[in-house]
Amino acid sequence: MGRARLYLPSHDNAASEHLPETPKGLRAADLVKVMTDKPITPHPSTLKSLPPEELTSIAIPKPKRQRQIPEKPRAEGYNEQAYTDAKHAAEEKKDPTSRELDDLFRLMEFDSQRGELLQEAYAIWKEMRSRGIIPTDRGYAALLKVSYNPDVVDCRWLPK
Amino acid sequence: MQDEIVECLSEDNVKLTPHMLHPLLEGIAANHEHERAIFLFRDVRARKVAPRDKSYRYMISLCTEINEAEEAFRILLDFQSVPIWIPRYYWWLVLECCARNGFVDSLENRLLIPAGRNVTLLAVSSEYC
Repeated sequence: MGRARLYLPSHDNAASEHLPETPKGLRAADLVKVMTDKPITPHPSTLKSLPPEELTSIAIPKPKRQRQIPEKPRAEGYNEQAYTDAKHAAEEKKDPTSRELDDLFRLMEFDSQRGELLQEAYAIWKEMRSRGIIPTDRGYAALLKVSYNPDVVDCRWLPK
Repeated sequence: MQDEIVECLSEDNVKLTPHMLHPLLEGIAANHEHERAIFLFRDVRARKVAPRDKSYRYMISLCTEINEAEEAFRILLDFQSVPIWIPRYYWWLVLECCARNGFVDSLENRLLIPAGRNVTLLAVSSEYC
């Protein structure tokens, strides 16, 4: 049985002897000229010589992409018209009903996850209460949520 | 602001609901009135208002954070009566708090908080109940 032999990789540079010497700082385009005698087609970037009408026929039209715009978060289960309704009612000097007030506070709660509308909700509640319009438990729950700002609480200890 | 709203609830004949309780507890805890939050939660449970599981979890976390091991344990046992699966995390959270506050007898492996019956650590865990 013959022994397996490991051959060291040969560092035979004989092939390079057959190639003409290449000057330093050689570019790829020059290398092609050195390595082949065949005629080389001009580089596609050198299209300046082409008449402009031919260029337009070559140009590939880019597909028009529709710009992606994030949609406004949907307040599902909320009355999205609550602000508009409240504004129209105020303009007509009509007082909202308890249910309308509930819808308004609930939408305010949806829109202010960080208690941004705290002062507005509080002012509306005070004003409506002075007029004898009382929200129901749904409205009060929303109002209590608006009046709590989680940013001021250190919630690091709370489980995720 | 929340105080003013809550004070008006009885005047407006609006009952405190579980949905109102949670933001209220968070607001009270935000003002560092932890004991008040505990008393409110206790009072609400005594009035047979069933808090949301979210509120139970919140109160357990709050009690363990402020080293109210006994209260955390009682809320945990009360939470067990709610037909909701309690994540194992909360059992360990309460046990760790109890151990930290010296409520665990290491020799007998028994919890030293009276809960109507002797509760061993294994029995406390939901897996063995």
